[in-house]
Amino acid sequence: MDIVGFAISFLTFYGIYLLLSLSLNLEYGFAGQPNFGKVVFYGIGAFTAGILTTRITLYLFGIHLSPCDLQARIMLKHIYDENPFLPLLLFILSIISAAIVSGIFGYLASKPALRLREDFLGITLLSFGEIFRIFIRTYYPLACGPYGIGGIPHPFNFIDNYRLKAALYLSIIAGIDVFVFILCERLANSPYGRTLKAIRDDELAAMSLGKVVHNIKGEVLIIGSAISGIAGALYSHYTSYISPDDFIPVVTFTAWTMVILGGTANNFGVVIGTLIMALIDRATALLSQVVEIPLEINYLRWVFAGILILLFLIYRPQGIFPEKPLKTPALKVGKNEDIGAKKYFKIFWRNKGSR
Amino acid sequence: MDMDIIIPLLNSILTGSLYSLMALGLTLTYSIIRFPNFAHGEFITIGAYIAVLFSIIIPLSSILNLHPILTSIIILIISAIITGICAVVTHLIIYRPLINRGSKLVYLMIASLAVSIIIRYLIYIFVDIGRTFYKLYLFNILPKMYFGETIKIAGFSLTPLFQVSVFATILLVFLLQLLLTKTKLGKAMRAVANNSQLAAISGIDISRITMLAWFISGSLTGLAGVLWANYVWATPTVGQKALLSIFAASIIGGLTSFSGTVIGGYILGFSENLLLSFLNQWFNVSLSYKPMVSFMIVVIVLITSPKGIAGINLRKIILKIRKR
Repeated sequence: MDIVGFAISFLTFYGIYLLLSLSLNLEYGFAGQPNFGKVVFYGIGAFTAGILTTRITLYLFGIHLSPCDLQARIMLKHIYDENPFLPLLLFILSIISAAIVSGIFGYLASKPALRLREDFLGITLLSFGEIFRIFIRTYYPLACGPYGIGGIPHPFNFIDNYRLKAALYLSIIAGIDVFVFILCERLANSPYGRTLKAIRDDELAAMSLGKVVHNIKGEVLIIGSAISGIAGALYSHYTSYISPDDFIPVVTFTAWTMVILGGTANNFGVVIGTLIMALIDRATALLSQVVEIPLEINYLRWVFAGILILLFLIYRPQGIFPEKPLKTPALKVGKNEDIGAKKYFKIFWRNKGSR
Repeated sequence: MDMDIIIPLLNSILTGSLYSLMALGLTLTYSIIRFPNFAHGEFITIGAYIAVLFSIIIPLSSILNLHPILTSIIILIISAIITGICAVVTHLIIYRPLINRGSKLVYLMIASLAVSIIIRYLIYIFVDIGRTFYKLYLFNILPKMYFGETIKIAGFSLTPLFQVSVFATILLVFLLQLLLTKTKLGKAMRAVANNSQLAAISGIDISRITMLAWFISGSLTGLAGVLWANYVWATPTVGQKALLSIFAASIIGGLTSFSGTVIGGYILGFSENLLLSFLNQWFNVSLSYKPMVSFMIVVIVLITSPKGIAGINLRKIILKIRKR
């Protein structure tokens, strides 16, 4: 059996899901925004990447064909082979644009979030997820409808060794993961993180202390959605083909399972929770190859995951690693204290001497 | 032109009735336990597959040797009861422990998502078992049930399914209304829905009332699910697909008003069939946008009047108009 290849594909899968669960932890664990539409922002990122890369390439080379054409897909493949560094450039472009577009949609989603109660917000975002998929499926000109978008380039198309290619891609994902982890950790342990927790625990109290709750909620959803958009773009460049049926609401459920299993408002816990869920996923996939079971093993996996999450919700709702007290000591409040994300970025780049 | 309207019109009434029945169950559980049960759609699937079980796998018609209509009614009742029991069981093993431990609303919502996924995939496994061991193809299947003959009234040909659905809806809504307004049990249920602490103080056994509410909710939805499976055929995702429309219908009623829910069900039925076929004819809108209708309704209602129809104060609006 090919252990190295298996490990690479497992870690790639893990890395992509880690982005989703970390961003959900930021939104729900720290800020208390129940994002039941995680799959939307993931899907928006993926489809932004898919649509942009194929269309830009076709436009640059003056081919007046829809990317849905089979002929166009063959041409795309030739173009990528002839211009080795074009896919890499496109990859960088699509990651950035996926983050921006998903962030914009996150901002839009935060608008109802300001007005609605938790349960109504859950219903709205959940239905938003279903509708996104149905829209992509039905509106053919945008993303080829039910056929999905193909011909998304692998960024390291110029490397022939497929093992090296996958390993390099994995290293990019790992880099982004580490960056996002540090970002979430810093965000959580900053005054901004404390504001988030204050809003989560008691919105009125936070408001009475002069925190602009609406802005902060919007910002958190923008950051979280941008991260999940990046995850979507990474996924689409990894598989090189995305169809609307990859973005079913079960993805949202998986992300929630990872967060609750590991521990809400604990980034390290989420890393472990994601690892456990990813291991369960791959282990069942392996099991189906090793053991001959007449039944479809995927179904059993979902039943198992559902029972696991229910047990955790009932007996250990704080997760494997419960939330810990903040690490940050109190900071001196400067004059002209900025509100929201600016404050965070100040903390992020501040020199260490001020602690 | 006339022919193009009649079929969507009849379909609107049919789907509207079934949506009302399903959404009534959702409204009932929401008003008693105060959380949106995302697993509600799976009760439809359970009802549908119980009908499949008793009409195809273990055909009751050949065992009991009764009149086919009577057999169909027995299947309807059996699946209503079994689905009701399933609903009570989910409440007892999952939601009640969670509520007793003081779980957050979000945790209850995730738990209901988990329940819906467990039930859906268990039904997938059931279908899979049928395929691998008994060579039965239970995916996308029509339960073999007989409800009588098509009647023609003034050019409208009413299918037996249409007759049964509309009749069952009227009967059940009437019975539910009687239960809620005339009996002590129903009054207790309404009291719990209004203010559970006050109800507990005045001596109402809340856990019994809650269980009863779950049973009624499950059985209404299961019964509607059997009829729904006769309309759109049974698949493991049949409940999940209908869930959004049910939520939309219930949200029109503000998730707590029963009459509002029935109206919402019919609004949903009419806008998904009649309105969409109009749009299709005049504006060339694709019929596959059908699921979007319910989402639009959810968003519009939640943004304009989150309390639904019950939140609209007619007197205020009339006063405003008069002032102008």
